[in-house]
Amino acid sequence: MSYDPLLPSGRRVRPAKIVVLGPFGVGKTTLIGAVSEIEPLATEELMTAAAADVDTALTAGKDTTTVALDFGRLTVAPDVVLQLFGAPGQQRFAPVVDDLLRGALGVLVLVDPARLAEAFWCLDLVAARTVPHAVAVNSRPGTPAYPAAEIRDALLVPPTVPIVDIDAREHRLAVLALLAVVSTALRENPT
Amino acid sequence: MTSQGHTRRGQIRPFQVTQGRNTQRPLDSAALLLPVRGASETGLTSLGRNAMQICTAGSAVSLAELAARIELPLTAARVLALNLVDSGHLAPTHVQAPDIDLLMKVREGLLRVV
Repeated sequence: MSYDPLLPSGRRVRPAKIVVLGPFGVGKTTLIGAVSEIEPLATEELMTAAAADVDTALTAGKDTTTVALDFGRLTVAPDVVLQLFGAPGQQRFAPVVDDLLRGALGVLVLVDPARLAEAFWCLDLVAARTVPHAVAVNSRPGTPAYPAAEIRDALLVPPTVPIVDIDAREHRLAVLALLAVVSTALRENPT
Repeated sequence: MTSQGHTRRGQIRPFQVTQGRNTQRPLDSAALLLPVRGASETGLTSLGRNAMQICTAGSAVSLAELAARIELPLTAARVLALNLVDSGHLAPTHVQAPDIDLLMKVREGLLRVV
């Protein structure tokens, strides 16, 4: 099978992927929307309950659940499109999250300072998968600001992991949070 | 078995898409689906033509974007996309472990929009 390259230079467009991981309602879709060049879209992934083969599940049934995934995209270079995927940061969605992590350049763990414990599983997961990551603290307007050192302490985040204060609605802060992920990925890249 | 739905999200469509075939070859939801220039659309199902329109209208559409716009669950959209790859209509660019070049381009692109 032959095909014409998409670009006059002969290079093909490549995907890059960052996963935004966090519990429900923490602001993942908002953050993706603040960066994405398209409105965030949602797609459904099927997850089988038990050890059932995921290949056989085409539709939801009593052994499967659908997981809605929000995502967006940003063309960062003529030949690179960055895809941003929101992933639910709960244990029960682990198979879907693991799928999304495959090939991701890094993860942004989104944290609500008023609900820090909900982030523990996310941080355990990215540590276990040794994937480059940064933490973004999404403070709601009107709530007290927590000192970064306290957050780092409470979450047991090592000094090599950036912690960024953001408002998920703000484009600039969202981009800075993603840059923190890419910086970590560059630092940790073996090539 | 769930009941047969009549909405676009009902169970009927995924089976129509796959025609009983069920092989899930790897195709990441972030993989890009590039239309092959010059591929003839005769013989495509209406779903296939719909998918080609989505992949052609957008620039470098991912599997996830195709699934969302065509309103199919990811697993069904994956089979549809792979069928179109096999028939020579789409060329996939797979997600690979990132290299320094890719990371630098992402970094530069993000810095430009900060």
